[in-house]
Amino acid sequence: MKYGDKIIYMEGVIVEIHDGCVGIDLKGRLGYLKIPMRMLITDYPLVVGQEVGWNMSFVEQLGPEANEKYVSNLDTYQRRQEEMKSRKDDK
Amino acid sequence: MGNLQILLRQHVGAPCEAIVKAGDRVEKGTLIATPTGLGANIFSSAYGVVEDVQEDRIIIKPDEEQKDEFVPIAEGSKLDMVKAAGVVGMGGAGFPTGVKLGADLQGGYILVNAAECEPGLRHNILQLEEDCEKVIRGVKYCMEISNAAKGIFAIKKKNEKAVARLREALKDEEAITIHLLPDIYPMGEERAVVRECLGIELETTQLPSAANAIVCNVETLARVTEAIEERKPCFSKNLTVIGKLNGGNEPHVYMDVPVGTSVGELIERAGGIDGVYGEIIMGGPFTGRAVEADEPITKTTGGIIVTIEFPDLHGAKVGLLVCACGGSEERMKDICAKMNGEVASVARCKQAVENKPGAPLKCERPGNCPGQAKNNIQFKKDGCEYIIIGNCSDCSNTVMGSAPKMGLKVFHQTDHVMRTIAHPLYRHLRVSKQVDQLPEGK
Amino acid sequence: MSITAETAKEHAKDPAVLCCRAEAGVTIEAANLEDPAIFDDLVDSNLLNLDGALTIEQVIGATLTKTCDSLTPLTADVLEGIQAVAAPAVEEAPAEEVPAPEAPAVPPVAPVAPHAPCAGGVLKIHIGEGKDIDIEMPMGFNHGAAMAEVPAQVVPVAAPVAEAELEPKVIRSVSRKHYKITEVRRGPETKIEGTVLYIREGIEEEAVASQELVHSLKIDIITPEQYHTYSETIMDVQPIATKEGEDEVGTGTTRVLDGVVVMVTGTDDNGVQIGEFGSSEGYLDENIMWGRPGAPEKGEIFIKTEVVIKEGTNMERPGPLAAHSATDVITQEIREALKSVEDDSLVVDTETFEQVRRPGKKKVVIVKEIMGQGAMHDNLILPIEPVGVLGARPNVDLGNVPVMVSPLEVLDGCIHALTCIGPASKEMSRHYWREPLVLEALHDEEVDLCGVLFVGSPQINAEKFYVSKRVGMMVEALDVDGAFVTTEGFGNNHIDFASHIEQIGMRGISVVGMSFCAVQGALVVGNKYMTHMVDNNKSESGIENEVLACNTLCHEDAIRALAMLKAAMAEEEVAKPEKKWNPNVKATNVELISKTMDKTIELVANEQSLPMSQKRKEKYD
Repeated sequence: MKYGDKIIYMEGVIVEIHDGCVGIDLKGRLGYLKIPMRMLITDYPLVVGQEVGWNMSFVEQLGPEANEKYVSNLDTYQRRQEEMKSRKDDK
Repeated sequence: MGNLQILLRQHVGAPCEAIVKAGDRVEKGTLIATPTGLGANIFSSAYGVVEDVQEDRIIIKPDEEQKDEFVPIAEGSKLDMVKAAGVVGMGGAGFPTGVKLGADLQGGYILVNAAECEPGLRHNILQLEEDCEKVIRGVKYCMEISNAAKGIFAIKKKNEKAVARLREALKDEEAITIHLLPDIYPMGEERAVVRECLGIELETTQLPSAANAIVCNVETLARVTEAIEERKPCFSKNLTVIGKLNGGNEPHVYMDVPVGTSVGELIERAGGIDGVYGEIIMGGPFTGRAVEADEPITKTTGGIIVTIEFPDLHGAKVGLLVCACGGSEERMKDICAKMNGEVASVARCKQAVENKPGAPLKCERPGNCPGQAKNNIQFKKDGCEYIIIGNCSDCSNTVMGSAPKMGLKVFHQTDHVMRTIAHPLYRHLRVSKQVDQLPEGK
Repeated sequence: MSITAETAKEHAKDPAVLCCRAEAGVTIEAANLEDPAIFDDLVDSNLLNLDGALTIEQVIGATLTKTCDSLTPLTADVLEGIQAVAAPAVEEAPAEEVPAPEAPAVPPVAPVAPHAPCAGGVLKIHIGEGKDIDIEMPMGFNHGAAMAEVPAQVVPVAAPVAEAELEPKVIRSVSRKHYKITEVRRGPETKIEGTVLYIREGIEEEAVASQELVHSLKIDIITPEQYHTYSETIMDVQPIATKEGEDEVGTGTTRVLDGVVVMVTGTDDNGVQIGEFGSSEGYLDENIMWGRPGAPEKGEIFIKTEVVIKEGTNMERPGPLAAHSATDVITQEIREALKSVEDDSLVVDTETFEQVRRPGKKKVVIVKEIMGQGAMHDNLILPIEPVGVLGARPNVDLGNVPVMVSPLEVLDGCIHALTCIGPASKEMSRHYWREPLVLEALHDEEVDLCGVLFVGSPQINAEKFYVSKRVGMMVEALDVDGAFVTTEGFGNNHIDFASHIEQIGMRGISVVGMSFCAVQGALVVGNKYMTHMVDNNKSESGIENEVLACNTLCHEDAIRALAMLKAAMAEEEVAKPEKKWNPNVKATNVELISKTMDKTIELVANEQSLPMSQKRKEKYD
């Protein structure tokens, strides 16, 4: 990475809490992050609306090519999701 | 004489409240503002008319002719008179002296801070050379008020003439002695004075009263004497003007300058600025700040320094080493910007602690370095080419132990001042921290 | 930066260097000394030459005879009153005699004495009051192998009487009967005929009906020819095994099918992966690290379920559990069929595991941290059948408190794992069935393995410290000489992982920690007891890749940990880690162990052995 050492302090708000994960809106509408519980350090009981902070760097492309494996996985995954949704709608 | 601007916030505590209004006639010593909480009375420093009362200051248009007489404060107990006169710590801290002296020291110490530690300043030592009796009487009044058994003058050994005068004046004063200090910064830090004189290392949150002591600046003690003997309110200040001035870089000491006088007026009185300059500093090279010429002096202003121009770093990456001994991070950034550097990394001396978030930094062991190599490693990692440090003599020396070898070019935040007044730069330490004391402090 | 008296004590054997100028006549105290943690950087930048420097313990209290500037190493010629200290340990002298590794690319690691080899690894971590946390890259376990061969040879000669008293004692045993399966077919009933396993057609409906949240379930039989098949994220790999008669898990006889495993996968109604994190979806053959304890063997047939659960429940506790329970309906029917096999000629192999206590040997315990944050971070403890569901208690419901089990219970499937994140470092149910550290410690005649302590990793820090204090008390009560603490994956579980090690270490018990760390899983916290660490990483670049079980604890990690713990219990010096993660350290350690033990240690392959496009190879592990 070329800019990986540019660490930026980020803040967000917990907007979703599940048994296995939390959803976090980055402040300033900079995106949404869903992380497994294990990647969250919890000093207090979790409540929606709690503010969280972490360090990030900018996200850089590692190269120009698309990785076939991931493209194919994504295609399959999305196709399945579509199939399942339409099946559900048919019911 | 130009208009006087008397700031409502001159010392520790909340701003004072004006009790005069535009058009009021005032005399020297007229009470014009009173404290709203912790604070001290503020008096007019001249005969004249109140031209305006603003949110943060009272503007007085002085009369053409000024008499020496002043409005005296009311008679009262010694402590009441110190309080009424609005005396505050004139070394720069600005803590109300009346409040400080209210403590019962139970046979403790009045320590006289005569270190005059900020390089370039001269007025404290000059006062001792010319009229140390007034200061000694102030010590005795303070001892009486706060029930102290001993007084100690803490003064740097290099000030031979002042030391000689003191020795002469104190030879029959049993309770008052002299403690000599080495010529390193920051011997004048309040807790350093306590440690040097009494051997007690205070925590950063402790006041000298924890060591049964009160530390007072030389000028403060003189003002205490004036309040008690002459019933004189505290409305003037002793200070040093120095720097890139017409006529040379020798210090100009002015005694009893009316509070509210503008910086520009004092510079003109000292000869005026000699050509282009870098900045004007109010206070000392370490802890002062850059000001404009129209800023007024207060009860705590000790120095006005006009510096030479800053070097140009052409946008190079700079690391700032912030320390309790020098400027705040903000001041360091200001200096870096004036040097046209880009702040790439900020580190803080390990011993510099913030007692409360946002409070000024305090050093845990003033004048004794905790090591700086780790900070230099950080600067190097962050790609800095230069570093600007605000450290004391000992820490600066440590920085020099590794920075140059790591390829970091070192500036001290006081460099431009030191070059202006031809004082050695703060780099390597070549003097000992130990000095031989006078026999029995006499 | 100057150090405190406490730090000085920890670094007693490190070189003493002035942090600042000190004047002649000064008595050296901790505050005069630079922190050894930065010496590497200083030596690297030629700022420091430690030749001839005395150690910190030698200089404290001595008087400086000459004013010296900052970063001056303190040597005998500038000090008076140097403290006498026992000569530095053996490891200094033979530094040059380090058996040079054959591969010239491997840099010489820390010194090793040929006759008293020591194992080790120190993790350097500094925590500033828990908020600004510095982490030196983890792991290094420079040079290993402290096999206690010498005492083992001496004892018999010395005391024949004592020997009788100290005879190993078999506490219990469990036998595994292996039944070979070469083909899996669907049929009218679930049964085993010869080496063919039939699974009843239509069993899917019953599996679905058993769980309210499960909306559909599909069974795929994946044979080796079909390994190049797309699969949803693999949620678990399970052995198919059952107890004979009334036998309980951990004792008696277990029947197990060879050549076939159950694989749980699934999505919710919207097609969202159940184990949405730690996804290993994709072509099976590209995503499985064959032969890991928790993974399938190449050649095995997978009975793969694809469970669809109610939308939006994939991240709630009941969702993943329902997927596992539905799958277990099928496995349970196979278990019943296996139970009813009467033809003993179908048993291809029988192995017996004995739980042996070895009085007189160093007593050790294995503490295994398992996930307990909730949802897919859970484990079912002690089902009635090996890796079953019925009868088991979810770790989360037990409050994540430590639960003591016997090593044989572990190997007999007492853990049904719902674990997630990430695929490369998660311990599948099968992992426990073949747990290498338990096997290695159980079979090692030089240690007395007293048990395996499972402890959950709760979400909230206060609960983490609650359970870890119980671990400390329990280990204290066990009176062991040494302990292993293992964890899987990375994340907030490293907080309790570190705390377990601290709780054990502060009681004066030697402790070795094992975790995936390398580059990506760098520990979030540390403490002064985390001096003996083994990294489970196998991936080429030290990251959590998407290959199932790639970075889990393997045989080669178990022997390193065991060697390290023995060294620690023998109070041998353990070298410090290198500043950055360096896979060569492991290579050197393994080599040293193999030399000492005089046996070859085969290292497992990593993701590089899997098929992948050239492009992927360039970009990714």
